[in-house]
Amino acid sequence: MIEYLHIGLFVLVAVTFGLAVVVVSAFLGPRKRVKSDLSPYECGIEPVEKSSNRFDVKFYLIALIFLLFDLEVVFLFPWAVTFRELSVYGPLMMIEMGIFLGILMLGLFYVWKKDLLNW
Amino acid sequence: MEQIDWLHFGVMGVVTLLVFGTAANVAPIMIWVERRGAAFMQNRLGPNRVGPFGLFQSLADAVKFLFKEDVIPERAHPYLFMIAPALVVALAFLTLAAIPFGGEFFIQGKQYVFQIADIPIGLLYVLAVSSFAIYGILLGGWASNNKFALLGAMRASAQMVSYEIALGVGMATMILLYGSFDLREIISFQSTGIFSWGLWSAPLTFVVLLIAVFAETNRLPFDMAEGEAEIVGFHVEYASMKFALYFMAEYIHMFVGSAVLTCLFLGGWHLPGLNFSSLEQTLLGWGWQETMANLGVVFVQFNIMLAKISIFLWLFVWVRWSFPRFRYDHLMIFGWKFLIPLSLVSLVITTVIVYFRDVL
Repeated sequence: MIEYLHIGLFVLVAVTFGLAVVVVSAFLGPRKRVKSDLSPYECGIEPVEKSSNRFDVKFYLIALIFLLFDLEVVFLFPWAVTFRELSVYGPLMMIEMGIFLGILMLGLFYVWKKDLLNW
Repeated sequence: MEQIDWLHFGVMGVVTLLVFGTAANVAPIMIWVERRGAAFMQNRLGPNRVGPFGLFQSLADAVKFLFKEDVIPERAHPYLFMIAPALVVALAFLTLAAIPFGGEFFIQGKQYVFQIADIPIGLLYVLAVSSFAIYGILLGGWASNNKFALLGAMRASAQMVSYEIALGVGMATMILLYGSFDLREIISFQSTGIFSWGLWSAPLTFVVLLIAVFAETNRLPFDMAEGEAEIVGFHVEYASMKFALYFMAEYIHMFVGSAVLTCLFLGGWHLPGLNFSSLEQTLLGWGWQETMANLGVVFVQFNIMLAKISIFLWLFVWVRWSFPRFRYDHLMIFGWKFLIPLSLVSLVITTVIVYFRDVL
């Protein structure tokens, strides 16, 4: 279990490094704040509308489909690691995953035909 | 309460420092390699003024980044805006923890490994932590409170999310092939000569994973996150060292990706024809102490590993200056309609091979 303590300590090292660099550069840099320096990047004109505006629904759909597929990928890992050991009892492991992947492919095909993957 | 083993923490501290230092130096060195490589491919000189061959150019750049004005735009959320780059770089470093860079060594009869954390689920850990990179990018784009930055962040995260599925299936294929999550064990499976390397067992998966790693690290031809000359990325509002941290994180992700590919496909620190136990015998024969000989072998392994990683890193540079950028819709279509089916096909092929070769 001590290995996980290493990770914990390394988290401290990494986070400290990241924050330290940000803070140090904030103190070292010059401060000659001009109004135009601080205005958001908007091709030189005053920003119109809020930035948290509506965006394309495509991004949302991609996120949803990703969630589904990534969840199914997670189910692949325990299967993959025990495949060799459990396959000695017969080809059931392979057939089951064949069905599972079949359903996965069917889902992909459905999304494909629904034209959700085109931009 | 057990006695705290200070030697243990001392040794692991040195190991951590070595790995961390190597990764931290990858960014400046790779920027130099990239710029000189670009110049070499485009028949020009590249940076050659600071130090020999311009070697200190990155150092000069880093100093300049540190002393630049630290702009926080008036509309941005100041704390999130500050935290996002720190988070990105911290997460990039964290993925390093599970990657083995060398074999075992003994100090005062206790075994250590050249790896920050020798966890049995190493590959899963790398996959989990590296997918956190999306949060940093999304947070940066959102905290900037700027339309272009937000759109850039959406674009980048949609791309990374799409290629992560192919990456996950590819990883599952390799786990199936080796029957283990443990990167140290995976490397030991590849220790018997060049034909035991994963590259020969699963060439299709190698292609899938290589492409997915390129997309995950936002490198050309998949650099929709940045595209410095054409499109506005998620870090338009970032200046000075905060921008540099995003840059650094990208290079560390490249380093980690290359290291994982090396472990899975190129046999880690093993070289064909180099037997580490006989190497240790040779070192002992030269009158080295046992611990020193042991550390010498680990040092050799570390360097072999780094050499193999740099092959991949050079490939990143080479591809960057050889291929034009994808168009965004092409990129998404390529990911969903080609790479994911390809990764599933390679999984099926590998399953059948493993079943008929190893089980029957």
